[in-house]
Amino acid sequence: MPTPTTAFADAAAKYGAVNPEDIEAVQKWFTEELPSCPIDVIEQVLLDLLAQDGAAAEREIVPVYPERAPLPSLVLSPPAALPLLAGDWRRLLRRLADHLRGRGQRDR
Amino acid sequence: MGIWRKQRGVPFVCRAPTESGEDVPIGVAKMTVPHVFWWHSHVQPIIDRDPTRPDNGWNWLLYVAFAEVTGRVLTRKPVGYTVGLADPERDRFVPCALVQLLGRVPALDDHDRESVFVWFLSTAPDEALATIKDHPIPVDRIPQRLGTIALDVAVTCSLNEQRLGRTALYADERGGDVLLGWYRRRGMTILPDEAELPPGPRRLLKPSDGRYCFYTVPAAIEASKELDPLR
Repeated sequence: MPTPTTAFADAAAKYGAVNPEDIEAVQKWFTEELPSCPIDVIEQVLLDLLAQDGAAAEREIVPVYPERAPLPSLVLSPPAALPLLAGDWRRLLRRLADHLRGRGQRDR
Repeated sequence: MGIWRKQRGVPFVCRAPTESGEDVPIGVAKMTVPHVFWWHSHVQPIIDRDPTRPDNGWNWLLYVAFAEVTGRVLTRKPVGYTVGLADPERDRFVPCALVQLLGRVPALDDHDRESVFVWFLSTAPDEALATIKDHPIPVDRIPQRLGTIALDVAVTCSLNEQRLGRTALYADERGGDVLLGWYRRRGMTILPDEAELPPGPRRLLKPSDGRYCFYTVPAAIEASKELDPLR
């Protein structure tokens, strides 16, 4: 097991004063509030969670699933960044050449 | 070629094979809340019906906070990715696999080196992709090899972050020998159960029991090359 869900609930209770039995409140804290916390708090939450990595869950948390969530947008899911040279640099150079050729023609 | 791969980095996979024989376009994006919100609404309930799956009971809404901590660096460099089916015509991105990594942990085979560790990795069951309301994917167009592609995301991240492909994970007990054998067939080495883990909580909570797997540098490069036709 990686870090059990109960460890996340306990972290939300410790750092966000959230009821650890209320999984929806725990989810809300992790998705909406934690990302805007100071970096040292996020770091400490992560360290707490990793300290429980591999531990067995101490209790059961009944999952709650959101209803009818929309499919994500492709436009809002851009490809993850790559190191400059790891991309398709041949295509990049071709595009750059095309761009420069086009500009050269416009200048004339 | 291996030297180039280590120095220059590697692009992520951008196609996946299907039963139809044609590849489908996929993308690897940073994991976002809408990705996991949809996953927890539609995919996780189907996963949770199968108690034998290692990802049964997981909750990606709790992990996504560590997918991208914008402009800030945490010690363990957590990062999350979504592998998704790209549908530009309808502006849809269908999450098919999720991967949450720790980008900076001591390597299992050499504690003085740094490695990527796979914290969570999950792939969508075919049923979840074939039953999407208003957007079902035909069975013969469902992306195949999603587990291999998701694992490759971790290896690619390791290569691109100067970890030279070193990647490690723990094969959940619920996956049994089948899961362990699957990682072995992907080229991973099983850490012997008498081996000591790098310093950290896992050394105490989950000492080596013959289920930690890792890629050596040459094995990671071989595994990465194997997916080159899909990049």
